[in-house]
Amino acid sequence: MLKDITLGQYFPGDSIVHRLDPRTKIVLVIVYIVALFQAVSWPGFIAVALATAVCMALSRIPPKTMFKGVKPMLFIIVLTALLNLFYTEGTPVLPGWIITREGVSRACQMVLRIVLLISGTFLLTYTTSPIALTDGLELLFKPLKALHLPVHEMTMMMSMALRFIPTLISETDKIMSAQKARGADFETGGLVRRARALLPILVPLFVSAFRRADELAVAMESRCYHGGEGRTRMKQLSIHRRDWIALLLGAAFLAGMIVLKGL
Amino acid sequence: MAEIRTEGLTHVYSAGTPFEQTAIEDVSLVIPAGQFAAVIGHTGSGKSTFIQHLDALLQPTRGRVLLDGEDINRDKHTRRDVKWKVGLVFQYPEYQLFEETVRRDIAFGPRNMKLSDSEIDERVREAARFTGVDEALFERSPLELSGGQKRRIAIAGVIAMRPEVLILDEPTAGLDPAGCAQLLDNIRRYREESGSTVLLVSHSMDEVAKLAERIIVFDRGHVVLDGTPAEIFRQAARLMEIGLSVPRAAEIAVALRRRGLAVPEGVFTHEQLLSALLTLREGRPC
Amino acid sequence: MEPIIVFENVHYTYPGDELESLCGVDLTIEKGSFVAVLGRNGSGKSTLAKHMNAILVPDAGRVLIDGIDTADEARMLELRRRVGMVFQNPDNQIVANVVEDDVAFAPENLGVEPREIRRRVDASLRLVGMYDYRMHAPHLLSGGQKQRVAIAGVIAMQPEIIVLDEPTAMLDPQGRKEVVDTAFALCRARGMTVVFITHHMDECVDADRLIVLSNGSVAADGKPAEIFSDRALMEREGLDVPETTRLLHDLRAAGLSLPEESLDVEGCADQIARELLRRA
Repeated sequence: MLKDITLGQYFPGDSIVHRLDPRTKIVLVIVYIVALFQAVSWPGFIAVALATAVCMALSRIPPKTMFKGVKPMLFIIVLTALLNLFYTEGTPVLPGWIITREGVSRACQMVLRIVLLISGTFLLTYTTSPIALTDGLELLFKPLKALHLPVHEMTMMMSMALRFIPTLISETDKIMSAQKARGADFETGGLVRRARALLPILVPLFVSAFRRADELAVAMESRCYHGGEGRTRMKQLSIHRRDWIALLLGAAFLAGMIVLKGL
Repeated sequence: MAEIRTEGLTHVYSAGTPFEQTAIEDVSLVIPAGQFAAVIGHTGSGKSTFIQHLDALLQPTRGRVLLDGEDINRDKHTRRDVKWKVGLVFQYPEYQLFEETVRRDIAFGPRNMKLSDSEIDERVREAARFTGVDEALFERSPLELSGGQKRRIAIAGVIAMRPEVLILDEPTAGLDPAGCAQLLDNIRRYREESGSTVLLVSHSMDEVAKLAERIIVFDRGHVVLDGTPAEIFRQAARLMEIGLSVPRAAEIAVALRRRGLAVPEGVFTHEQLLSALLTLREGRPC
Repeated sequence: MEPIIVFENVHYTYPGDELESLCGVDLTIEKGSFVAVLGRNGSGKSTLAKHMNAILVPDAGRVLIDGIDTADEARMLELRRRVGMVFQNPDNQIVANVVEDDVAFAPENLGVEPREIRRRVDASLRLVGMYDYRMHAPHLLSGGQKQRVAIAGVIAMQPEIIVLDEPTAMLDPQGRKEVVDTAFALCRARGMTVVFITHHMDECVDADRLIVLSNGSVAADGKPAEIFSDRALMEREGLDVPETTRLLHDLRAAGLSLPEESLDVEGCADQIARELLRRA
C-alpha cells in the first residue's frame, strides 16, 4: 500500500534530456518556472505548454507517466479551479449566472499553470538520477561555500534521504502489520484516538531510524568519509555543446516570454 | 483449539501493474488443531505471504482461509476477531516495541481486546513466565534492554493474547546459539502446556528437525513437500535442489550410505544417527 | 609469519557503562590468515572489531595495525584505508542509490582519481560476482547480494585486512553461503587478512584459527578442531558443537577407535565407515 507512493522517481533512459548535465537541467527548470510566471494571457500559456510538450517528447517519458505525477495534486488543482471559477468578477457566461467568462478563463489558466509547473519539475526528476541531481546541486551551489553555507553536507543529506526512503517505507509497512497483528486499530475512532493509535508505529519507526543513522555513520566513517574535503567523484560532470545549446534556447525562450508579457 | 484450512489460496502483489508478482499460488492445506508444524523455504518462496494470510493481514487474490471452518475474511469483524485467535510474531519482533514499560508493552494486545485490568495482569505474568521474562524487568523501558530480552518481550506480547494458533516467523534469527536453544525450549514448553497449534517459520533444518511434527516446504509460491520430518529428510536430494539444507546428521547419514554402510533411511537427528551406528557396530553385516 | 594486527593489553569501557567491554585483550593476528571470532552476544566481539579500524580507541593498552597505532589521529585515514569493515545489517551500510555508486564511495572519499575509481569499482564488483548488478538499486537486492556489494565497497579501498562483524546474522542459508565463500576467496586467493565474526560454527570450520571471547577477554584461541573438541569450553561459552565433532566424540566414548578430528561431513564419514567396515 505504502509502496505505491513515488517520490521524485527516476526513469532511466538515454534520451537527449537524460544526457544533459544535471546542472543544465536544474538551471533550465528555474528558467522554466520564471518563464511560466511571465505567462499572463493565452498566447503565453500556449507557448509554455508547447515548450513543455517538446521537452516531454524529447525525453521519451510517456505522457501517461507524466500525468501520474499530477494525480496526487488533483485536490489542490480542483480547489483552485473552483475558487477561480466562482470568485472572479466579470460578465456572466449566461445572464443571471454566478460564473463569469473571466472566471472560466482564469480557472483554466490556473489549472494549466499548476499542471505545467508540476510536469516541468517532474521532467527533471524523471530524467535525472538522484545522485546526478545532488551532484549537480552541490556543484551549482559550490560558490555559496564562501558564505559558509554547508553545501556538501546539505546535498549529502539529501542523497541519504533519497537512499533511505524505500527502506523506511517498507519498515513502516512491516511495523503496521505487526501492530495490527496485536489488534491495533488504525481505522476507527475520532481524530484524537486515531492520532494516538499512530504511537505504536511512530515510536518504533523513530527508534529504528536513529539506530540506522548510528550504524550508517559508523559504516561511512569506516569507509574513510571525512566530509567533502579532498573528495573526488567517479562520475565527472562535464558541460558539452548540447548543454550550451539547451541553455541558449532556454534563455531565448525566457526573453521571448518577457517580451510577450509586455505586449 | 483451532484448525486452519486454506483452499486454493493465491496472492498476487501489485496486480494489474507491470510489477505484478504472484507470491503464492493455489495453496491448499489443513493444519489440525494442536499440531506443531514448520514452514520452510528460502527468501521469496512465499512463506511470509502465506503466514500473513493466516492472520488476515493480507486479502487473498483468490481462495479462502478458514479457521475452524469459518472464512476469516468474511467481513471486517471476522478479520479483526481472527487477530485474537491467531497470534503472529514477525521477524525481528523487537523492532515493534514502543511502550514506556515492559509490562505495558506486553499488555498492548490484551488491552486492545478490552479485557479487565486483572485479566490483563494475569495474562502478562503468564506470558512473561512462558518466554522467560523476569518480572523484575516489568517497570523498565523495553528499549534499554539487551537484544535477546527484547525479543522475549515481543513474543510475550503476542502470547499474552492467548492465541489458539501461534505463528513465529524466524524467531531465533540473529540470536547466539545459547539464546536460540533457550527460546526454542520456551516455545516447545508453551506449546505443551497450552496445547496451541504452533507454526514455526525457519531457515534452520537442524532447528526444525528437533521440534516439528510436520514440515511444509515452500518453493516459488507452491507447497512442494509436506510430511513428517522423517519423510521430508528422506528426500535430501530434492531439498538441496531447491537450495535448502538438510540437518547435518542426515547429511552424514547420506555420506555413510554412499560408503556402503546400512544406515536406515529417515535418520536425521544426532541421537538417531548415533544409535543407528552403534547398532551397526553390534555386528550386523553390511 | 608476519603479524599485522596486534592488541596489547587492551581495555575498553563504553561511556556510561560500569562493566568493561574489553578487559586486557592480548592478540596477534598474522598476515594473510583467516581468523574467526566466536562468543555469546555481549562477549565483546563487536567492540574488538571496532578497535581494528579506530572506530573505538583503547582506554588502556594499544592496538597496532601494520605498525600504525590506532590512537594516532594523524594517520586515521591511512589506517581505515587498510582495514575494511563489513557490518551485520546490509541496509545500514549502503549509502548510494545505485550499486556502482555505492562501491565508489570509499575511493571517492580517499580522493582517488576518477578513472582509477572506475577501474577499482569494476574490479571489486567482479571479484564478489556482482558486476552484472552494477546499475541496480541496492534495496531491491537479496540480503546476500547486498552484503557482497558491501564487501565490494570495502575492497575498492584496496585494504590489507577485512573485518566482517556478523555479516551473516541476518541472511538466509543461501546468502550466508555467498558471503562466507566470498570471505574465504579474499583470503585464500587474494592473500587478504580476514577477521570473521559469527555465531554459526559451520562457517568457521575452514578458518586458520578460532578465537573465543568471553566477558571481554580471550577464553580460547586455537585451530577449529582443537576448539570444537573441547566440549567443556564449548558448553561454557554457549557455542554449538558441530554435528561431526559431536558424533565422533560420542562414538569414541562408545569404544570406537576414531583417531582423527574431521570437521567436514566427508572426512567424518570416511573415518566412521573405515572403522565400522573394518569391524564387520
